[in-house]
Amino acid sequence: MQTVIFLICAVGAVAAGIAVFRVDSMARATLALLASFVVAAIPILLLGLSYLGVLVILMMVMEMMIMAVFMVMYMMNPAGLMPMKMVHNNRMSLVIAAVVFVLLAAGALLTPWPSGGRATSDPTLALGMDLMGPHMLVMIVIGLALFATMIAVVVLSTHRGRYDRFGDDLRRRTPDDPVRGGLGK
Amino acid sequence: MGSRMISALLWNIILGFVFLGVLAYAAAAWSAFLSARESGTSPVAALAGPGRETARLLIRQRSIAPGADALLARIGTWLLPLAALLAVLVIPLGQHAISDLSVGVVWFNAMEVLAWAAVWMVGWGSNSIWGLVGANRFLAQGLAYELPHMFALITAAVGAGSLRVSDIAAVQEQPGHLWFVVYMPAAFLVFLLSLLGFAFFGPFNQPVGREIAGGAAAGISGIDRLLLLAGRYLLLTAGAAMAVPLFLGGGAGPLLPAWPWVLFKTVAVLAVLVWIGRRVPAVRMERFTEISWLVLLPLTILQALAVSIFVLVGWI
Amino acid sequence: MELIARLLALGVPHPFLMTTPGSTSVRLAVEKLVRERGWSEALSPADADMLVLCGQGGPEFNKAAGRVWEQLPAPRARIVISAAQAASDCLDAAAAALRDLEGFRRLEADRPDVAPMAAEPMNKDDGGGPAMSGHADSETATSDTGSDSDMSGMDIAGSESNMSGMDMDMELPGGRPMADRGADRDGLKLDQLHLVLGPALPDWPAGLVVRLVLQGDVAQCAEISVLAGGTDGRAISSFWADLLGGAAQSEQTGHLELVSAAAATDSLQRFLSVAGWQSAARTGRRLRDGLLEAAVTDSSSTDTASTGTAVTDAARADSAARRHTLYPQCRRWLRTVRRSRLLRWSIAGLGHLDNGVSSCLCGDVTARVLRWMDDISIVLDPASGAAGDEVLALGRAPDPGQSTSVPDPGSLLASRAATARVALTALPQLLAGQELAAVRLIVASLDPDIEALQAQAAGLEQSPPLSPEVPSGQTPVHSHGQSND
Repeated sequence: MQTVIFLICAVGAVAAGIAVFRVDSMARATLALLASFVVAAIPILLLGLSYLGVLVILMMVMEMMIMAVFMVMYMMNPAGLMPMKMVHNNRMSLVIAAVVFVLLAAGALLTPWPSGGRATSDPTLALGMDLMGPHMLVMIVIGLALFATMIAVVVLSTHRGRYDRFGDDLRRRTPDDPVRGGLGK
Repeated sequence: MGSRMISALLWNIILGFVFLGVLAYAAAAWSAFLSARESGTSPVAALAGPGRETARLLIRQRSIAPGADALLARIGTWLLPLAALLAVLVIPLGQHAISDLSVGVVWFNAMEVLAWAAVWMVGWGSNSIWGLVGANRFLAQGLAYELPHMFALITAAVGAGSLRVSDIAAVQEQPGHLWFVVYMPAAFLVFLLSLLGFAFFGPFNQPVGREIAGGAAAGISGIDRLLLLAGRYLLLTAGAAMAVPLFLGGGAGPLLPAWPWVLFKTVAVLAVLVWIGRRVPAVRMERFTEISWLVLLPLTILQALAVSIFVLVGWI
Repeated sequence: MELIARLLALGVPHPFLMTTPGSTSVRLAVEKLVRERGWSEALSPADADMLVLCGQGGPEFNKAAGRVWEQLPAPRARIVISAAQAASDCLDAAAAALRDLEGFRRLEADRPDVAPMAAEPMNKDDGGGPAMSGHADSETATSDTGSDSDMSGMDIAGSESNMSGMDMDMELPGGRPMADRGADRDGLKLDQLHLVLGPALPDWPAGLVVRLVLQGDVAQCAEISVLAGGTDGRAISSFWADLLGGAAQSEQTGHLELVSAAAATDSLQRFLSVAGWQSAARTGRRLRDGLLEAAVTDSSSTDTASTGTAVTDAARADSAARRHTLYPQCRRWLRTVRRSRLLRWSIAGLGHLDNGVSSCLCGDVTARVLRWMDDISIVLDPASGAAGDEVLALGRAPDPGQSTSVPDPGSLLASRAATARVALTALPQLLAGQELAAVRLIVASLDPDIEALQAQAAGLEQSPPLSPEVPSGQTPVHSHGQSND
C-alpha cells in the first residue's frame, strides 16, 4: 500500500515538474510547480513525519501563490495564454540539472543509512535531533540572523523610509502615504 | 476487521459531509432570509432561495470567455469545496473526528490556505480584469489575516499542549476547566475575523465584491459558479465548526451527549457570523492590512504569551 | 427533459441592468419590480440570464449592450424597456421566455454555433459573424433592438486597446491587447491594464464612462466621457430634475424636500452597495421606492386638489398612513448607517474636493454621504427642520438668487447639471492614484446626474433665453465666490 502511494506520488511529482517547462503560461507553470511540491510532501507523511509533511503543503501553497502574484505584477494579462517559452538558456540548465541530480542521487545511494530503524513516539523530534543534534542552539541563532537579514534588506531597499512618511523631523502625526492605511487619523 | 473499519470510516465520512452540507445550506438560507427581510419580500419563501439558485446554476451553460484558462478556472472551482471537505476531516463531532490527525490544527490551516490557490485560479483563469483584481484581492486579504490567524490557532494548541484537535477539545471538557474562549478571548475574536476572511464572507467579501462586478466570480457561470458559491459556504461552515473544539469547549455541555452540543454550538457560531457579517460594510485590505499587522498581530502574540504563562503556572 | 424543465421553472431570474441616460424612471421601475419579485440582480453578464436595457440607447450604448449580450450564457433573454409603465409586462414576458424549454430547443437547432462564448477568431473589424448568435436568441425576448455587436473586449466593461502599433500585433487569443509597461508610483515598472468602467456596470451612474489605466488595481490615470443619450432625436429629460421641478411648483409644503430625500436615498443606497454594505443598500432601495411613491402620490393629489374631488382626501389619508410606517423605518436605517464607525473608517479621507469647487460636492466622500443623509433627515424630522435648514444654509449655500424664493424648475435642472459638470471636471484628478475600490467609492459619492447635464444642454439648444438662469457660481471653473467655510 505504502509503496503504491509512494510510486504514485513520485511519478506525479516528476510529471508535474516536467509540466512546469512544457506549459506555455506563467500561471500554469507556477501551479504545476506547486502541484509538484504538494505531491512531494505526501511521502513525508508516509514516513510518519506528519507535522513536516502538512507544513510543507501549507508553506508551499502560500509561497507559490505569493510568487504567482509577483509574476502577475510584471505580466498582468489575465489568463495570459500568450504562448510563452518556459525554458531559457537550455544547454546550461540541462548541465546544471544533470549535475545536481547526480549529486543528490549519489548522496541518497551512498549514505550509510541506519538499518532496522528505531521505533520512536515522535518522529519529528527524532528527525530534528538527528539532523541538528547538539547544534540546535546554533541553528536557532542562525535562523534568527537569517530572518533579521531579510527584514534589514527589505528596510534598506524600500523606496520610502520613515523620513518620507513622517517628515524630516519625524514630527508629522499622520504619515504621508500614497494610499491611506487603516490607522491613519 | 479491515473491511469493518473501512466501512465505519466511510460512514463517518458520509455523515460528516452530510452534516457539513446541511449546515452550509442552512447558513446560505439564513443569509437569504435576512436579505429578503431587508428588501421587503417574503423571508420564508427565501429559505428555498439557495436551493432554487442551485437548480438554476445546474442547467446553465458554463461560460468560457475567449482566451480564458478553463483548466485552471475549473480546477479552482473544484478545489474550493474540496478544501472545505478536507478541512472538516479533523474536526471532532463529539469524541472522534473522521481522521484524528496528530497535527490536526496544522492540517486545518493547510487546507484553508488551499482556498488561496483555488480563488486565485478561478479569478485568473476566467480572463476578466474583474476576476484578476478579485483574485489578487483575495491573496492580499490572505496576507493580512493569515499571520494573526496562525497565532490564534497556535494559542489554542499551546493551551492544550497538543496539535490534535480532539485533545484540545478534551482539555476543555474536563470538569473544572473553563472553555478556552475565557482564557484567550483575543485569539477567539481573531479566529472569527480570519474565518470570515478565508471564506471571503461578510465584510471580507471584497474578492467577490459587488463593486468589481463579482470579482473572482465575475466570469464564471453554471456548475462552476455553483461550486464556488457552495465552496464558500462550506468553508465558512468548516471554520465555524472548528471554532467549537478550539475555543468553545467541544462537546462540553449539560444533559445532552457531546455530538448535539458540537452541532448546536456550530450552528450558533454560524448564525452569529452570518448575521454580524451582514451588519457591517466591506473592509478594504488597503486599510485592514495595517490594522492586522500593527494591532492584531502583536495582540495575538501577547495572547499566546499570556496563555503560555498560564500553562506554565498551571492555570490551564 | 422533464427534469430540465422543472429545474428551469425553479430558477429565479438574474437580470443584468443597463441604463441609458434619460431612462432613470425605467431603471427605478425595474429595480422596484426586481426587488418585489425576489429576483436578484446579476453583477456580471456571466451570472445573468436576462439582459434588461432600460431605454433606447445610442450606437455606443448598443455596442456595449451587444458585447454584454455575447457574454450571457444560455438560457438567456434580452429586453428593451422604453417606458416605466411597460416594465412589469416586459419582465413577465422575459421571465416566461426564460422558462420556455421548447423555444430554446428550437433555437439550439437553428443556431450554427452552440456556445455563444466559444472562442472564435477575434477580429476586431469583424462585426458580422459573431452577431448572429445575438440575433438568434433574441427572438425569445419580447422586444429587441437588433444591435450589432463586436467581440473586442470580453470582460464586462470591454477592454481598450492602446494604440501603439506593436501592441496591436501582440494580440492575445482573448482579443485583449498585450499589456505594456509603465513606471508606477512606487518606482517599479509594472504592466498596465486598460479598463473601462461603464456603461455596463452595476451601481454606476447611467451614461458615465471612465477609462482607467491600471497597474495592479491602482488607477494611474482616468479619462472621463459621457455616453450620448436618446436616439431618434428625442430630447432627454432628467427624471429627478423634473420631479423636483414639479414639486417646487406645487403649493404643498415639504413636497420638494420629499422628492430630494428620495433622490438622496437613491444615491445613498447605490453608494452603500459600492461600499460593500449590501444589507443596508437593500433596505435603502426599499425605502427609496417608498419615498418615491409617497412623492408621486403627493404630486398627483395636489394635481387633483384643484378640481376639488373627494378622492384627494382619501389619497392624502392613505399616503399619511403609509408615511406613518415608512418614516420610522427610514429613521432606523439612517441611524444605522450614520452610526456605522466601520463605514466612516473605511471611507474616511477619500476623494477630497476643495471647498470652493462646488457647495454640494466639497469635502471628502464622507462629507458628501453625510449631506445625503441630511437631505433625508429633513423630511423625516420636520422638528429638526430648523437645524436641517441651517445645515442646508451652511453646507451648500445655493446661489443668492436661488435660496431666497421658491426655486423654479429651470434653475433646479441647471443646478443639478452644474453639479454634475463640476463632478465630471473634478473626476480625472480625483481618481488618479486611487485603488479601484476607492475609484468606485469616489464616483458613487459624486453620483453625477448625466441626465440633467444632457437635458440642460438640449434645453439650451432649443431655447437660448433659458441660459441666463444658469447659476454663475456653479460653473466648473474654480470659483471663490462661495461663502461657506
